[in-house]
Amino acid sequence: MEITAESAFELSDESSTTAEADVLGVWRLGPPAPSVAFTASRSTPPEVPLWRIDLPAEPLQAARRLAAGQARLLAASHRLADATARLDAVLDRSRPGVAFTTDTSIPGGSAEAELVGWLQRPREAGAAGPGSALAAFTNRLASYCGPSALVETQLQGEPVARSLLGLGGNVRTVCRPGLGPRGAGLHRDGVSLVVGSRAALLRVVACVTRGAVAISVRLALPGGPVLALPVAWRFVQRVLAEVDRGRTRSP
Amino acid sequence: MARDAVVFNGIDATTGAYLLPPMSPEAVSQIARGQVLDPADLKELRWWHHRATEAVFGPKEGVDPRNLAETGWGVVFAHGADPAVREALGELLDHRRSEAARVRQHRYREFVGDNAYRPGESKQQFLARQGAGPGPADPDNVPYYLLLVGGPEKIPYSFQYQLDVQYAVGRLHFDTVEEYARYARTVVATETRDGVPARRADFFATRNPGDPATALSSSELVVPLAEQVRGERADWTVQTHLGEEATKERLTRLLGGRDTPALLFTATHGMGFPNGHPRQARHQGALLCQDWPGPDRQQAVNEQHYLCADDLGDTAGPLGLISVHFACFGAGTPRWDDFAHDGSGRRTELAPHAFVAALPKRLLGHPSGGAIAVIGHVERAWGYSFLWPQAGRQTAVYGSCLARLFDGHPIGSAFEYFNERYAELSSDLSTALEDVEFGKQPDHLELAAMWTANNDARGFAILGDPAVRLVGAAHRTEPSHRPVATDVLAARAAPEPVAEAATPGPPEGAELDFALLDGVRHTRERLVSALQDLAENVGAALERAVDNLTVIEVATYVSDDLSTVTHESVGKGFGAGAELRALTRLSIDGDAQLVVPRDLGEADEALWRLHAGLLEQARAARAELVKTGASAVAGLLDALKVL
Repeated sequence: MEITAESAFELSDESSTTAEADVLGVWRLGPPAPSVAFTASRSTPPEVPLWRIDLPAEPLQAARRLAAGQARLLAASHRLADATARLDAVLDRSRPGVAFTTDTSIPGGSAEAELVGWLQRPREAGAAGPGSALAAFTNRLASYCGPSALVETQLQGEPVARSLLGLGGNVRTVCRPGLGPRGAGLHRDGVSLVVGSRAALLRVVACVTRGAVAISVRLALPGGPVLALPVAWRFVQRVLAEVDRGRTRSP
Repeated sequence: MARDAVVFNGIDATTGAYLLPPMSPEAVSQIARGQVLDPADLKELRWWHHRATEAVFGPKEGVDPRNLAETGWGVVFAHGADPAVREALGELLDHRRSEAARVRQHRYREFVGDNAYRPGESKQQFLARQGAGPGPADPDNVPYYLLLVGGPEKIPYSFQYQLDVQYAVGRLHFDTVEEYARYARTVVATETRDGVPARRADFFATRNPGDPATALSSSELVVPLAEQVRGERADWTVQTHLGEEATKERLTRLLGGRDTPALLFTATHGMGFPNGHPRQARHQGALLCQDWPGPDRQQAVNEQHYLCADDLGDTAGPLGLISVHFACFGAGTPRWDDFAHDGSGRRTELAPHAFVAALPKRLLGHPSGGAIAVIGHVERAWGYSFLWPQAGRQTAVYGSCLARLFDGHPIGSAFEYFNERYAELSSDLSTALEDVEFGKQPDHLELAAMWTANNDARGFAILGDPAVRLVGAAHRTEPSHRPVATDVLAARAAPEPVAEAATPGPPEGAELDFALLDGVRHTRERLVSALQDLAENVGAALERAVDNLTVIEVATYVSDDLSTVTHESVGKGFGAGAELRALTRLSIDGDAQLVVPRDLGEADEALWRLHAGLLEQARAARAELVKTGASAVAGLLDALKVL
């Protein structure tokens, strides 16, 4: 059976532009890699997304690159938890059927300000909002979060190990005989990063849908939560994209 | 001090020395091996640990722990309790009845008279009389949130520990009826009025000179927790009071008046006194502040060094506070020592009788409006609860508990992480002790760690109503039904129509307005299609995962040329071009099958480590992935079915 890898995600490095980065800021879209397939013969191959982790040959640099990915994932997870609370806070200040008034506690240009803006113009939220982007994202998610994922670790462009992951935990790995402890450790950490990313992406879905339901119920939006999805998605996306939040300080 | 020695929190006020000297892991291990575990308790703890690793712990599935109408709420009095106490709590009981009995009357229960706790009763005996057995709390039998009313001589700590594994339990005990009435007024006031206290969380940790215990609890517990809250709760103000700032004067201000936060987390030594000492009942468990010059002085601790109940005046109360005290005896003291044994192996007496610490009683029953809950430790507190040998810092239990509090969970629900840790450690410890009993060479460090951590997790207790929530925490609008994999998949197979009345009606004319907008319609159609695809895809993946939940299979192959490897199918192994080197099948009941080649040599060491690492990751991630996936699908279905 042939397992194709039409979708490929590459571990972003520090120089990655945000435009090509995924919503977590950890991965970016990469070119398909037909040669990576576990080739055999079968007419209709299932699509399995490839998560490619190309690391420098220098051990310290490679470890740093993976650690940076883990740190970005952790930061995204924290921001995702924030997004839910912050969306709730905006909704808490709202009342069904009552227009939003200017709230001086919301900084201009913030995700909250934009959300309030959309909610004051619910018509535009559906018609001209980020619905297309959300549809594209959900399409991509369907492959991100499917039954399987293929993780490939490369050292200086050379594949050294691949793992096929099932959502239920099963793992099949094939690696080079002389992988060595360093390569083994890097691949294990890479698999961990992919597993964490898949879980985080699912949490994004849960967060956005939950937010959409909350918006539609709280504001009695006609058309139900689906029309609120783009707005909730945009809000979550903006919170996730925040590089550095203002933090309170110790006395 | 010997490396890896077990260091205990707690200072003997009369000598200024540690209540217990640092002990070697061998000594602790020896005590652990002499411990007799109750078989019934052990069986249940294992069951809870097993359940918690596969799903979400708490009440039975389908019950939202944040909704008292679903969970129920009950109060348990000691047999023969003074009726005036029940009367004094009347305001709180009426308030909880209005919440818990909203859907079904019997989800509010008062266990008094014949149904009260009887002297000497075990948890199983008590529950059996109420028609409940082991297993998750079923609010239609016994409510999930249970408030014990009475001191530990009337309702023992051991009953609270065991009941807490299955239910969310708090305890209230005061010396006067008036204090019960004050507490009831405080809780009702904080839950029905706005404005108190501010959205502020404070973290207070001493670093007494020459004292490794507080150095560790400050740097490895309090600082990381404060950072976590800062990072995750942008709408909260987080303040830390560390080392030199952690003075008695500062703590006094935090525990009354305008400087009182909504949440206070302290990590200090707790004061201890010899059995029967005149100050023991009043000052044991008081919080030793930075004012103390450290153990090297080896002199009696001055009352100016610690904060006790007597230091809190009547004028400024800690209204609405939830306070967490990581300190020995911070919540109370049992009569018999859980740790030290005399030469003949008998437990020594810590106090003439068990008691609840005076400081939390003062905080909860303050005349100017008190705290709504105090979490503290009964007996001594150990560093193993946040530091694990060779693994370093382990604050997930504390962090998860705080996260739930900030998410609006009642404190009893947030506290479940400690109960799960207790169940896990008890289960692991008993297995390790069984192995030793059957001849395995004991690993002293491991046994000591497991035993002390087990006692530590068991000893944490809630004082106050377990249904109170952090003031200012998020109030969620999530559906009350908590999705689980099986529910989600069932819903996917047969989506239920949603009654129109379930959704608030739109403003007049608005729906027509929207329907006429082609852009809206187009966007909506695209979204619906994309969401349906996503729900089906993730749902199918979940379905497959759930079907295979009973076994995890990890296989590791080698191949000289990765590009030529063939794959039989996603659920099977690799075919031509790959040679199987290790295969592990781990079933849910713990049975493991391991296949490795006979000639596994040093060259395969790295491969074997990779295999073991991936197996460990798979075990750790499986439940989380399935749960998260189920939550995502549930959200998608919610969004779609309201169409």
